[in-house]
Amino acid sequence: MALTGYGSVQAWMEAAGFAEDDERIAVLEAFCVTHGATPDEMVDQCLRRFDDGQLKLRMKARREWVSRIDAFEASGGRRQANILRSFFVQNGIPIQPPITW
Amino acid sequence: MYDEHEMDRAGAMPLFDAIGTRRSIRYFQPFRPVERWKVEVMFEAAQRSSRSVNASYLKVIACERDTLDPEAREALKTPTNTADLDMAPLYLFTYSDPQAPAGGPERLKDLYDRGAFAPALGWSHRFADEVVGKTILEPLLADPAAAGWMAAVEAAQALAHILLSVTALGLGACCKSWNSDVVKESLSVPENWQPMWMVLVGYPAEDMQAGGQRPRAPISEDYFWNDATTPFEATPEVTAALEKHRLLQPLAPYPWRQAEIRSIARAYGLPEE
Repeated sequence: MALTGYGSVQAWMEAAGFAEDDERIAVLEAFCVTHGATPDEMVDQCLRRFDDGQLKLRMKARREWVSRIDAFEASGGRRQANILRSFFVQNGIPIQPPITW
Repeated sequence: MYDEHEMDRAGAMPLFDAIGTRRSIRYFQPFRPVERWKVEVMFEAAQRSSRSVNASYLKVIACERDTLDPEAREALKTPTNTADLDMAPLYLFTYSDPQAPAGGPERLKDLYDRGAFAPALGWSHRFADEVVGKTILEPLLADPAAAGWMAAVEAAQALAHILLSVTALGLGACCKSWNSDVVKESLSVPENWQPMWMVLVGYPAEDMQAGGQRPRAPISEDYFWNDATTPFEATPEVTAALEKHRLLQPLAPYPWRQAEIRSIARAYGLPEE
């Protein structure tokens, strides 16, 4: 399936306001390939879904993905890493990097 | 360093303006420390709050970000306050003290001697000394739920003074939930203090308006006249006057708010969307 076919990616595109040909899709795709996970799987690992539709953060899984993004930043830079953080944030998983100044 | 000009400006801010301008500020200038004298102003303002039995319910430990143990600072971070803790140069760890009413009779007698209480309203040294303690304070202090309620209510009044003085001083603040156990030992926090908020304080990196005043329910939804079924309605002339005196200000979002947030995010390396 194309990356833009995943619900989590569609939610991200809608919330952040960009189209399928945006460079952000390629950054996310490379990250998914590196870790062998689809976008929906990454989100599902970080959120526990209840029958009433509510979600709860899975803190351990979130921390693991935060670490992977931090590792990605070491080679890809802050701007690219923030694209990944934006994907998680817009899917309901709060992630804040340390500030730079 | 104490700055008389800044103190004069803070002291001249009208109360209505301070109330109307106060926001939860979430972006700070990380490089600019909060002067000690401004913290002193906050604490003196807190100490002037209304309080039962003239007791000190609020306890605050002010810590400069860079003096905190780096491990503790990391442990304080949660999914939604990582960047906030990096930005704010000052943390106020706030607590309420449920045992604060202890010693109340002595303070009440002192207030009596200063003319706050008088026989005209039934007060006497003997009432303060021999009745208040046994009838009110001892049962209160023996009931953790009641003592905790009283301490939280009264400490919050003092905390509100801090937040308003922060605004008058040209600073920003935001109350955050926190894991108080992280710093309990290193800050030598007494066992009976109950954690309230961790208040992040600093010079705003965003405009003091923070995009405009937050929407609130009309007073008629929450305030009543004579009974709980009769809403207290706002009147046009008072509303207009409060707008003039800046207690009521234009609502968020200002047209430039999103651009402002993006600009700050870019400056600090935070995600923009």
